[in-house]
Amino acid sequence: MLRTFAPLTRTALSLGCALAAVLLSGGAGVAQDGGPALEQATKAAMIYNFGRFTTWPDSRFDRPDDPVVVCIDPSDPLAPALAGINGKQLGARVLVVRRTPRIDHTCDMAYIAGASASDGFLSSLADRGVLTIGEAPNFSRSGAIRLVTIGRQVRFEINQQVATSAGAHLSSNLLRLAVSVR
Amino acid sequence: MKFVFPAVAASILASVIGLSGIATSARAQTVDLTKLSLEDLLSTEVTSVAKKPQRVDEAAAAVFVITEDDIRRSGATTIPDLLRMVPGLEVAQLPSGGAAVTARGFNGFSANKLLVLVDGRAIYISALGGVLWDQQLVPVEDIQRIEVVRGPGATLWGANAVNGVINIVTKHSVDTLGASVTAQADSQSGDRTFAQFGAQLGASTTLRVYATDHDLSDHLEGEHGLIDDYATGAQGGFRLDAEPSPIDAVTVQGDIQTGYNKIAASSPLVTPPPGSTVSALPDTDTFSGANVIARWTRTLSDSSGFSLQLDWDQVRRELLGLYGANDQFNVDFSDHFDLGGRNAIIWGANYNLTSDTTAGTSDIFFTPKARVDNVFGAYVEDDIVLIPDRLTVSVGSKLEHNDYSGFEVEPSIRALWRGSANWSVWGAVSRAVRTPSQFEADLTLMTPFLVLKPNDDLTSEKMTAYEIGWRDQIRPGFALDLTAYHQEYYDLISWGFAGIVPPGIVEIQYGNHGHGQSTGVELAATATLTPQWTVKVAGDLMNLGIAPGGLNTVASSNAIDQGASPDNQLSVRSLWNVTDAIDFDVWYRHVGKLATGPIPAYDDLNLRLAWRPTAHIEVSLMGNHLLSAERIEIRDPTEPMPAIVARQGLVKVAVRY
Repeated sequence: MLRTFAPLTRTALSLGCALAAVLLSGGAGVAQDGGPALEQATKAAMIYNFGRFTTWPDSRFDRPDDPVVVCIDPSDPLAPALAGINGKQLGARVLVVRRTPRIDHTCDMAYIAGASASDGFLSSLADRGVLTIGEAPNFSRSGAIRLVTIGRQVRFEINQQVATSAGAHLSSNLLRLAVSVR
Repeated sequence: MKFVFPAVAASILASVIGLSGIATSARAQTVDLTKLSLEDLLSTEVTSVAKKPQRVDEAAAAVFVITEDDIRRSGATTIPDLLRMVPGLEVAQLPSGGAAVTARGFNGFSANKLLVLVDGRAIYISALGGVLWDQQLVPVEDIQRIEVVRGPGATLWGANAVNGVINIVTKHSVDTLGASVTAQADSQSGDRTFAQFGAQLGASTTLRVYATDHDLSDHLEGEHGLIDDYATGAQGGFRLDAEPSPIDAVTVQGDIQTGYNKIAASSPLVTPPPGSTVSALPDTDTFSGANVIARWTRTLSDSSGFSLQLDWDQVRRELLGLYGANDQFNVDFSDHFDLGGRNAIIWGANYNLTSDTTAGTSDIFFTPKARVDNVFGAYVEDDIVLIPDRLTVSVGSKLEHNDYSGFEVEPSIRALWRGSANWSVWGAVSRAVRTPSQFEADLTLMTPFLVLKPNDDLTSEKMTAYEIGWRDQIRPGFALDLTAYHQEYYDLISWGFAGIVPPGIVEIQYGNHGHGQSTGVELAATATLTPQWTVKVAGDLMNLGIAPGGLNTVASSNAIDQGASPDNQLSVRSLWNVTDAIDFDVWYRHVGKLATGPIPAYDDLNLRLAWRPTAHIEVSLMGNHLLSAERIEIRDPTEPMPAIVARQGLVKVAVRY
């Protein structure tokens, strides 16, 4: 029942050569630029989703259509990408990106760069009702949501106690997709 | 279910963008990432439906994606049960945890026209002509999505992707970090446990290991008599993902399993009638298996990349003492690139080595008892943009060689017309083949009055499909997907009368006797009625006609095949988020009658109530098959007893830290 085909062996060999050629040429000429831009755009889109899946107490806003303000330091590498989500709708509210070096209680969400993410500062923001987002290694000790990059994957971990202390209710959808919840 | 409509983009779209950090910023600007759901934003796995990243609404094929959310809210714990939500698919329960699954007709234990893959590894056993569903123990918790293409997928996937291709895609191990445990028990004394642990091993490396175990025990004394059915199975496995550079992704994964089924004791096959010369067959059916996949994907740009996959799969199965060992080794390479801005080329080559060793008795045996088969294949397809943002045409073909039927050619031509951002129409003409199985070519079965002879001259079954489809997002939250098809089959393999030999023994034989056609429509629709309430509908109508040829006008398996499919099906799922922490879901199904059996039409109702008291715990209560005490879904001639599907209550607790 088992038959062998010499022509097939030859075909397989030539396919193998073609394959090797592609594999070897693969490393050359790879466009590396644009990568960080996409990664930043992805992080910005995730921050937009954090807004979508968070409920703030009504008392935080004067009117039902008051904007949700996301603050970021203008010198932060993420700032240009984050500007891209400015004006996006979050239910009845609009998301407004504010590029400011002054992160305070007038922000509803804030992206805090590693250098400024001290436990004391993060806790004081939580006390003022700000949902803090960052990437520093120990950020989720006192910050609410930490973006985590593992290889090519961007994920997030949540400190639910910090979010709750800020008065922000994170939906179960968000909690389910987090790599860890503490 | 998810089609790419702006609000709910397909997971496949996410893979177009990837988080790979190498796609051009131009691409980042053209696709608005905020239009993706969070799940899709997180999903970066390269899809294999088109063997390259592709948006569902750009696919000129009948595609349906079962998402992670669909899986979670279905309450289903087996892959066949999940597939019941897909239009055009037929799923029926077989004894001992088995299932008959097909698309667009020809259902049964060996539903041989549907190709099924797990992470690109074919679980369709060509020697058997089908999938051993009771051995598919991938935990539903680890499935990221299931991509279902109805109709031929042979141009890219090769032989046996005749009526459809299903690819089960497991989660990246970054999405299973931490520890999780699930325990479930039902009122039919069945239970299931699942435990998993995932960890980050380095800056770009993650790993998960898992183990799962189930017991299905049916001891029912109802309208269908005494049913004593027992099945148990356990599986463990791992998945390691490493992304050593921004353009490279390496995955190594594997599973090992063992299981045991007990066949109903009253089976005529198990206890031969007095005077019969058929040897007594064991009343148990044990199985085991193991597999390893290694895959390397390199993304060169947003429109080019390649992947190389090696997999090895070992299946051990008693199958009533008949079957022994199936070992497969596969190498699959695929590459895609852009040519001159208007042509997207995808090409690839693959090699499969299959070794089958059978057991058998003096009355039922294979000739030869063991065989080794080779399949060589290569394909190329060109997606040509004829009118930018309006009309795309794809032409391509696969050429392959197998040891049963020689060379096979499987071309297709597809076109997609985009009317606006909201609606598109597509059409396709494609050809596919199904290669003969070892059971059909090599099996001898001797009884006092009837003998099945092997047939060395079988050729492939051929099919040509004509399909058209329409996708429309009527308004945000309301989406419609409609497909119509006509499929013509030639050289269908069936058993039939082959002669009478002295002293009056009837000989039957598998042969390329039949031809036939199926015509049908399939509908999938989603309506988001309020932010908290979504209704998803799937349904199909089908007319299947199979005409036997030659001497086989009276007795042949063609009639069995024709009668094994319902001509109408409907599935309606209501998904209601009562509060953020409570889901209440209702799943109603109707399946039309089957002439083979005969099996009456049935209606089915499943209810699910889930509560998440904290971020770490989910408790769910389910009531399944509530509309009747018990039912039979299919009567397969190869199964000694039908499976009884009985009303049941379930409780499930899932904990994750």
